[in-house]
Amino acid sequence: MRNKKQFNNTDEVTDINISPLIDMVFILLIFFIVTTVFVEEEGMATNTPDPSPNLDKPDEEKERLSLLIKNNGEVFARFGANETNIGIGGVRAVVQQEMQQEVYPILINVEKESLIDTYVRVHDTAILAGAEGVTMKVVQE
Amino acid sequence: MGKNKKALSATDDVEDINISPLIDMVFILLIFFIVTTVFVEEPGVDIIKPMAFNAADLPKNCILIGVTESDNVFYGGEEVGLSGIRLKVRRMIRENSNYPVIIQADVGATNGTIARLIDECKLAEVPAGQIHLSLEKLNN
Repeated sequence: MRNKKQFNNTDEVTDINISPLIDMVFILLIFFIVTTVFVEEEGMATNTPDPSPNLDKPDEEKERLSLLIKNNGEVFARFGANETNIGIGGVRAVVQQEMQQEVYPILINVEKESLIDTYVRVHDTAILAGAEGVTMKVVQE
Repeated sequence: MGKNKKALSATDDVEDINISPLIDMVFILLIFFIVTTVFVEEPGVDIIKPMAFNAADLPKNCILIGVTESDNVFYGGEEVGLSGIRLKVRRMIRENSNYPVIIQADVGATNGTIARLIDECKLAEVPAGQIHLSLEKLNN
């Protein structure tokens, strides 16, 4: 009883009680702190050929360079019917040589069980060697 | 009880501490977090990203899809599989048509799965060139 009286006495000061506001702001703050995720992603665009079979025919007729990643991680360079095993280390030289004559996007054929790590390395090297773009295409063994 | 009452009345006599700087600071923090918050559902799986030199910064607002070493496809903390991802991505694209898709693939994921995942995203009406592979950037 006495306590209540005292409380009323102090209330006579004409201040707006801002403690609910502060409580609310704190709750909002905690909500946003908890839900914030700092997404910092770096990466590169990847593409697969559009499903129309007419598009990749002209490339083969022109005997353009394409690469092939085997299931076991071996990398082959393919000119028309010619296939040579160049390995990841050989990609840069082959692509660079080809790009000196004409710059065009490179098709990387991948076998289903090859690893994304190998593909990323070949893609990266091809771009560094001056290729205009890279397309990933899945081929059967 | 009696002790508590005494303490309360004692503090009443003391002048109030000025809390307005505290409130100002809290407001500033609040505004900072409101501005920086993006509501992105993370795949929620541990992934070792492939490394590359050609890695560009990607937008913060995006659709994240995780692919683990054993080729399991995760979205928003649950395994959805290759067949379930199209529905999820399409729903997100309907709401936010400019969101790119970022695939967080583990180094051990196979190209067959990634290529099928990209095809599924294309079928879910993700615009061409908006599908990215998440990478660890190497500095030369």
